[in-house]
Amino acid sequence: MQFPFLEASILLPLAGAVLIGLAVPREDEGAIRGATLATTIVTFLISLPLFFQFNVAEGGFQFERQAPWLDSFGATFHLGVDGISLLLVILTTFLMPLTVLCSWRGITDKIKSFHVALLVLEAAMVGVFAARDLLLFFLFFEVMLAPMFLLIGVWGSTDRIRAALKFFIYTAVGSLLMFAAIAYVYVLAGSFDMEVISAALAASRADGSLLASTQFWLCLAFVIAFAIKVPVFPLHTWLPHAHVQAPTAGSVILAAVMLKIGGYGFLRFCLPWFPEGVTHSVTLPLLGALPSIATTMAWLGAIGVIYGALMALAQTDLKRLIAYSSISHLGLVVVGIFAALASSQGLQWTQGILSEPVAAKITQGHTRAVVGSIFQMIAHGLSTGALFFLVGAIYDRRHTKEIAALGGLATPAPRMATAFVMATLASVALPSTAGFVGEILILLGVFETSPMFAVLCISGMVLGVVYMLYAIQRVFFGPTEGPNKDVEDLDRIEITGLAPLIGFGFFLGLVPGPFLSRLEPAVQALVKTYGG
Amino acid sequence: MYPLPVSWLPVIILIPFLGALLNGLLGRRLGKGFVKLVGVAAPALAFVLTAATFFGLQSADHGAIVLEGGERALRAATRDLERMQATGAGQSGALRVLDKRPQPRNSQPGATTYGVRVKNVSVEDPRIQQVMQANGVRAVPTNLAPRSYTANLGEWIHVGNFKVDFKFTVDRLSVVLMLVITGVGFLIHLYSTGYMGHEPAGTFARYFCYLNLFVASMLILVMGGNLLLLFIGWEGVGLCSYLLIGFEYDDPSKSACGTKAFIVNRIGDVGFVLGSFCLLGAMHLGGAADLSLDFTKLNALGAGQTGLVGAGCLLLFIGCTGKSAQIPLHIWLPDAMAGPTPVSALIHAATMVTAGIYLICRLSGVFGGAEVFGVPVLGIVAVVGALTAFFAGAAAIGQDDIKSVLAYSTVSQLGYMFVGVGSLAMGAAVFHLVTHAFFKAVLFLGAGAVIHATHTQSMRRMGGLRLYMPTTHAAMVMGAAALAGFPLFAGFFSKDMILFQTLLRAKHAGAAQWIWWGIYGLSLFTGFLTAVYSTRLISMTFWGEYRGGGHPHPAPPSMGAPLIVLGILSIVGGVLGLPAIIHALDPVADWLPHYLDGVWPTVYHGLADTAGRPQPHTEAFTYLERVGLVLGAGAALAGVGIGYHFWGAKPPSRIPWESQVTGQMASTRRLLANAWYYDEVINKRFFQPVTKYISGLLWEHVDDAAIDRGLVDGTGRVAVQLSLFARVFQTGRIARYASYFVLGVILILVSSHALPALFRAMAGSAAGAH
Repeated sequence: MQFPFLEASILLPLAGAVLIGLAVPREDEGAIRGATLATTIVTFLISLPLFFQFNVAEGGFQFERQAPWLDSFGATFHLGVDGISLLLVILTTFLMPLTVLCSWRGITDKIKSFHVALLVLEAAMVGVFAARDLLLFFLFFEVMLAPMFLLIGVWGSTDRIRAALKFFIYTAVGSLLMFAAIAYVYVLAGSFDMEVISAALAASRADGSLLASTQFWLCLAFVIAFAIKVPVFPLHTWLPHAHVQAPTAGSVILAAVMLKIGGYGFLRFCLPWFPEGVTHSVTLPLLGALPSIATTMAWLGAIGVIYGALMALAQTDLKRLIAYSSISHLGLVVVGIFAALASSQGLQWTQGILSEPVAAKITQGHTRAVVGSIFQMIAHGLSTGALFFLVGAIYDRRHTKEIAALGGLATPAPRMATAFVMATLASVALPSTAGFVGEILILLGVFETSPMFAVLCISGMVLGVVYMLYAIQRVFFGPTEGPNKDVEDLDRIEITGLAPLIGFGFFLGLVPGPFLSRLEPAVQALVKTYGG
Repeated sequence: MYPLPVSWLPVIILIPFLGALLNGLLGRRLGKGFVKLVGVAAPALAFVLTAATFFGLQSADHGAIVLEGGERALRAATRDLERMQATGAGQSGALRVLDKRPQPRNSQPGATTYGVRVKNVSVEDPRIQQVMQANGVRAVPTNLAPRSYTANLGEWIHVGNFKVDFKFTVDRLSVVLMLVITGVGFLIHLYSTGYMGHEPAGTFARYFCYLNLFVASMLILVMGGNLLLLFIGWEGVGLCSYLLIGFEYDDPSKSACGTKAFIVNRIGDVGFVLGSFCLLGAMHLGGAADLSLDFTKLNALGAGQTGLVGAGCLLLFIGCTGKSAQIPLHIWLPDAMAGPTPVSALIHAATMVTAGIYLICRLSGVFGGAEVFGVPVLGIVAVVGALTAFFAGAAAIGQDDIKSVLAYSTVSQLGYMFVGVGSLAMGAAVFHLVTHAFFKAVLFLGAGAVIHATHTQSMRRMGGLRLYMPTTHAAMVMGAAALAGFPLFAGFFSKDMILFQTLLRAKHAGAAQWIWWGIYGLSLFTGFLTAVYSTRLISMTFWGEYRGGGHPHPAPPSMGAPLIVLGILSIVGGVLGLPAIIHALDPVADWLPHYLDGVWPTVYHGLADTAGRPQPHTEAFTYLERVGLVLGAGAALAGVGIGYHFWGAKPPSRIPWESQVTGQMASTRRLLANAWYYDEVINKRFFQPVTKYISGLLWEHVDDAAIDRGLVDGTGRVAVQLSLFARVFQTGRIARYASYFVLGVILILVSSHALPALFRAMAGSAAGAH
């Protein structure tokens, strides 16, 4: 029997949390940090075989494990990963040791609780991506909220309570809607097991008992819940607040992993389970036929790309600027997921460029766009993670994130400046970085299926450079004055934390093959639902 | 024989890249000696390997010939040759017939000649002589099928049928550019050791790290075998340019110039990406099984032109206007002069800014016949090039800063190169690219030596430096003469080859002749302007009395040696492409363009308006070439004469153009000094404030006020108000609750009985009314 890598990746951080909570004394800071770091590193190592032993030729869900859990509900402890989940699980376990490192200097208060919260969060996040049971997924989804709420609310900056509450209420509203949809799906399928549900939904779609309008409402509930997570314009305003208030580790996890649950949810639930719901157009009295979910989401994503970038341009707080850049980047991910399914009504002229849409061509383009979207999520995790890490490092030294108060930091801290420029390059998708592979695949896929959206989104390529380079110019270049002169350069621990983030950002851009090949079969299976 | 295995190709890129890594990581610790060694050795080594590749390519071509003659005679000749081929088959380097049946060549109405290509053989070969006599055909040497080397390192991005490889290809075009990049690059690295010599070790190491990284990126650009790999180099050189323009980052105005360069280039890159997508789309529609961005596949698109191909080429050209600083995206290059002067020489004159010309040459097959709404894309390229050449050339006359003169001059010369590619004279454009790399590099390096010596960039505070730095003076005069197109200097031949091609177009183009006349006229006039500002530059810097402070010192040997080498190249560079007007020169005439001919074999076919053109070596052709040379030489000589007459050795105070502050001339000068106010109006008055205003407006009034505090917090407030309202009923008095209960029962009864009855009654009366 295979070693249970997935369970281990969930249970190990939990065990670590319990051990540290019970056995390590509160005062022994070194031991707490060391033990947490060791736990996260071992978890990462244990999750690595998932990647290397993944059978690329076979595709599908692998490393599946099923254990009895809540028999009376028909819910089991069912885990498994396909290419999509796999990469997100690895991203999570890869990032956690680095978040421990980035808190080394900044977190000095209630250290023990902080690290326990980190470990619980890790277990929940891995669980969310690995769950093959809907109830289990929901459980992890909710469990994840609590430690993050605490991270922001306890270790955040001055206005932390409000930000934490906003984050919590927003997500809770989403999960409430999702829970209603989950209950409905459970009644339909008679089980929480995702495989059973997929089969049952496919069957009732085939025999016509699951109406397109029913699919629409179910899909809508899921979509709203995940759109809040992404976050999609105009449901995004909790994110800048949360980021600005959160401690560095919180921001890194939030941006690098938790936002990705939104994109993951679209791909895991909305698209494959409710294909007609995604493209269904509801007719309301007075308003007439509304645009379908796909059309709406593609438009909101495209608006998000431009809007997020313009917002980033207007910011005076460095952290808020990067938070808005996330909204812009993830807008592109949303476009990549939905654009191929969006109705091109009103955009017929763009169809002229590429002649009649052919089903096979749409499938090819959609596959590319979705693969690109997932790749972009990983790339964004690395680059934005590094940027938040660096902003945290600046804040630890200067106790401000106001761009106006900074300036000329490259003189006292050249290594920090170099790291920031490199993270920026990854963020603006310079060719040879991971972001480029993701962006070019999304844009190409979208261009093949609905060119208008590609043309809209490509403006993000320019705007991204504008706000990031202006930020670099104002923070790192120019004369160094006042307290900025005494800013220490990155220390050994910080460099150890940053190097993997930046290094992998470039590695993935140059050698994306092993990652793309794991994603492709999973995405093809998904896209096939749309009759390619 | 290739002296190196093909797998060595990536090593040429790897060497400068490793140099950058070493300098970046260890340079500060190991000191300046180490940095100097690594920094200079890297491009030198790359140059040696490139030279080996060049000779390898040379010897790999065992010659190729074309048999020309009537169709029937050629068929017989082909059969003879195929018999010979069979006897020597299997050996490498054996004679090989490339065309199975005679191919039409030089199709002119009424007199079509046919040709058959034969490889690995020369005209003098006895076998060929025999075939010629037996069948009555003639043999002409050609470069039709030159070899190229390809090193494929494996897959890069592969999703579905979209497949892009890490593939490096070196053919004749690449190798010419590689020689320039590593050769001129080496000289500029050497020069930099002197120019940056007094910087502290950390800064010194950082500088050479960026410079080596630039060489590596530029090599990727010209060696990449597909459009996406080229794009790595394309944006990579942009990054290095950004880092080096803002090299002295503590000066906010300089770092702002770097930022501007990157942003403007990114705008062009949007065109690049969309253009590649359009070409991919065309490939898709053409029924290609695999979508790769290989240049061979893209060039094959030229055969079946569609609107998508035309749009793709035009969008790619927008990318070129960004990288090569053409209207409308030229505004970054003058600002790029904020970087150290050797950087301006290498990146912003000799190599990076020519990437746009390289791209169009590389994709000549698809650009050749691309049309947008019936307008040929290359025609647009030529018009944009001519306009840029003129506007920038004129602006150069108004500049006081010695580097600004050279910057606008570079924009103008790049315009010439685009005129060249636009008139399908790809070879001439590359020729001008090479000579320009020589003479513009020497001008920039000389300017660097002058700035180094006088600590100013304003020519008003120079003058008389001829006596203080004679070597620099001599080298710069050579460079300026070449730039001015002074007869027999390098720039004279290359510029005139471009002008001659436009003249040919103007005289014999079928359609839109007047546009080509316009392009020719404007280019000729720009040649005159070029000569004027070149003379002005030399006069104000070197002649007359010294007007600055201090005692200028001559350049150290590390700076002087590259100056001398490049100065000599500016004189003799012309031998790469002498015009064929004298019979004695025939064997060497047009060497570089001929050398490159094989790179774009397909370009000239499929062109409607080549029909009536005179063929090379005919009387009409030579006549036109002579006329072109005389006109070009006349413009240059007139420019130099007028320049000398007005500026000569006089101080600026005695020159009306430089000293008047009011009147017509002064306002013209202001217009030119501000480069026609283009940057001022488009960028500073329009683009920057508008983006700032829109983003500020959206942030303050939409995101923060309307969405966050309005909608989001508003929802919260409504919820709070609702619960406050609900609290009113939560009084704790049993009697109250009992009355609510009764009220509820009544409500339920009414809604379940009375209301339906009411509706029924209404429905009944409505039905009764009908």
